[in-house]
Amino acid sequence: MKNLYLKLLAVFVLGFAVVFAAHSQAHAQSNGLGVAPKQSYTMQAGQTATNSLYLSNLDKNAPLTVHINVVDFEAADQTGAARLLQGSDQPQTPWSLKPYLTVPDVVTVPAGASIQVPFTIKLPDNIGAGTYYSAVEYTATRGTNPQDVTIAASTATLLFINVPGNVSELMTVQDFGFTKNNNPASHYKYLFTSNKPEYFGYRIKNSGNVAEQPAGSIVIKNIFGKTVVHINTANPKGQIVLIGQTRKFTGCNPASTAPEKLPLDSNCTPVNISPGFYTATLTIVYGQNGQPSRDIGATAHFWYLPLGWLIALIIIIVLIIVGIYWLYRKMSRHRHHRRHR
Amino acid sequence: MFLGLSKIKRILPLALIAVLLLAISPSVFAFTNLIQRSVTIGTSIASANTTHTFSFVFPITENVGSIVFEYCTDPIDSIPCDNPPGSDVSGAVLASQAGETGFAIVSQSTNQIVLGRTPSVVGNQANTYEFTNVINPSNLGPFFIRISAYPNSDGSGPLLSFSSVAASINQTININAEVPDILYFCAAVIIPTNCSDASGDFIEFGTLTTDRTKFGASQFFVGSNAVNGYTVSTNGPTMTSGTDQITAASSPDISRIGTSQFGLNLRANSVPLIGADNVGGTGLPTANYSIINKYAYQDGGVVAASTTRSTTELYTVSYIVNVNSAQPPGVYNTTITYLCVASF
Repeated sequence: MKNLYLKLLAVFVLGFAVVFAAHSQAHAQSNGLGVAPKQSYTMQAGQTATNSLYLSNLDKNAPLTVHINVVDFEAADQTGAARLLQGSDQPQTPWSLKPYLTVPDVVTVPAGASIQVPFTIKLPDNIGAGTYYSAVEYTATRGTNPQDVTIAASTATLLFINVPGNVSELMTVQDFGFTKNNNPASHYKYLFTSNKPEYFGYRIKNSGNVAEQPAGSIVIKNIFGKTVVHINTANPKGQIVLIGQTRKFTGCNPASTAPEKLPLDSNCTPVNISPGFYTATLTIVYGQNGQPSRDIGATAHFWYLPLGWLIALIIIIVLIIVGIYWLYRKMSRHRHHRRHR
Repeated sequence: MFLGLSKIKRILPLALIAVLLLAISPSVFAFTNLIQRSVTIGTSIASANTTHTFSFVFPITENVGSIVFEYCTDPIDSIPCDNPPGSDVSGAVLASQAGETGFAIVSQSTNQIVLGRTPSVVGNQANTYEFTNVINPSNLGPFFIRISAYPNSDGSGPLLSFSSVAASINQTININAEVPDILYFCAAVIIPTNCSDASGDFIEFGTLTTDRTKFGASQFFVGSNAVNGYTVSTNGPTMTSGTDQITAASSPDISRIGTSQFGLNLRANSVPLIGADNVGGTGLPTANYSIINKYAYQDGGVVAASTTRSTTELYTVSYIVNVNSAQPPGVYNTTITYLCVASF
């Protein structure tokens, strides 16, 4: 038993040495930060409002000095990944909150504590309706003398402000379909599936000046037009399509429709359908408060054929073709005989 | 009457192509029914007692005797209507009407108001109906009001027009009661359990030589309850000394002794023997940084991402640095800032 403990200790020490084989020196302080990752508010043109952002120091032993910076961001790709536009020569985006947002440059958070970082947003009277957004970036750096590689940690709060009024809203559905997994890289269009579909996906292009959160539902009808599945949350995670972005939305057939469970990936279950041909229809209704509501949507068709059914179907088709061919040959021979007589 | 084999041969591919096209090309469409329809909510605060004002234009010129407003979690008319939690229009009052007038509330329930009048032909002007004493839904997020027009005064008869309008309960600037999502993040040389005991903020490679790869490791830790996941990117230049620099590996490459090369990855490597795979959570290293024994570095490059809620996750970053004989002498260093941002 003692040998076993010694072996385990040796494995642990060896593993630790492998992972951290660098000639590194450790400073015994953490740069751990806790933040609220996203905040959305509605404000009127001309309004000035103050609020605060949550910021915590995860180091229980030392206070943490955090530098705060307002940075514009954009969609990094067709998912919800944000790319912070940090270049010093980066032009301000048309939807930037920078001119209206005031935050402290530096704050100190006591060890193991959290603070509320105050911010003020002052919107001018003549600001146009729409969505304005920027990121509040927090950077914690402990090192004072640059070493070979100095490591710093940074995180951000994405801040969205909706200004009501005469906004320009235009969304278009680019594609839609069901898929076998929830990978955003999945293609949603397929003709046959041998498994009951579980996940759906669609892409929406936002050509307006509002960051939109599409809402709607999906209906699956069988070949006779009867509704067999209804998913009333086409955007279960409340995802947003930014201004000018084309974004992929993914979701699934929920096992539970409880609001707290809808966004969870573990809450997915295959749709309960029998083998056959199906038509899925996506309907999205959108429109800001007081603005015209619009409906957009798309349909997709697919066959659900389990492997056993597919094999049986192929056998039946082959038998039909062979039968037709056999009958054709027989009729031809019969005609030939009659003509001969 | 039998099809000849040659005809079958000709028709079968066409039929297959037709089915295929039907299946792979989703038809995109837009509905139109009630025109220029909208709803204006007096306040979009959850559970507030407020006004809801509907505006729309009839696309028809027929006898309309009633208009039904139905509050639902879903906009589609063929789907049973579920009342948005907390919403209540059973005490709503028709405060004003314009355009097609003469309506009064003939029946109402928790999620439905039926306006009725003596049937008369509608015009194509804008119509507005304002209801007061409406209780908003209690949950943040969207809800829908289905608007239907019928020829009879009590909401019966064939459906003449139908459309849904979208509304939403939003967070206002002065409310801080919501329990927000939280994102925890730290980067350090060693993170034994979580960010509370992370330590170390620099890696020393010692003297760089042309005959050996110098390497080191650090870690970062992500914890979040945000449902859309996160990305972690590296920000900072390659190792520099004044204007001299060690070339960053722009694409994944093995460690090449004797060449100018700086790179990193997030895997357990064997050449050199350094690093570890990520532990816990749902995130993964991105393509350029997930190949064992291949290293890359790009300022601003995303090194790890999760597309779903990820509880806590620990990543280990392995760095390698090589120099060639032409590398000017100097003290080379860099600061790499690991930036973790939640997805929207």
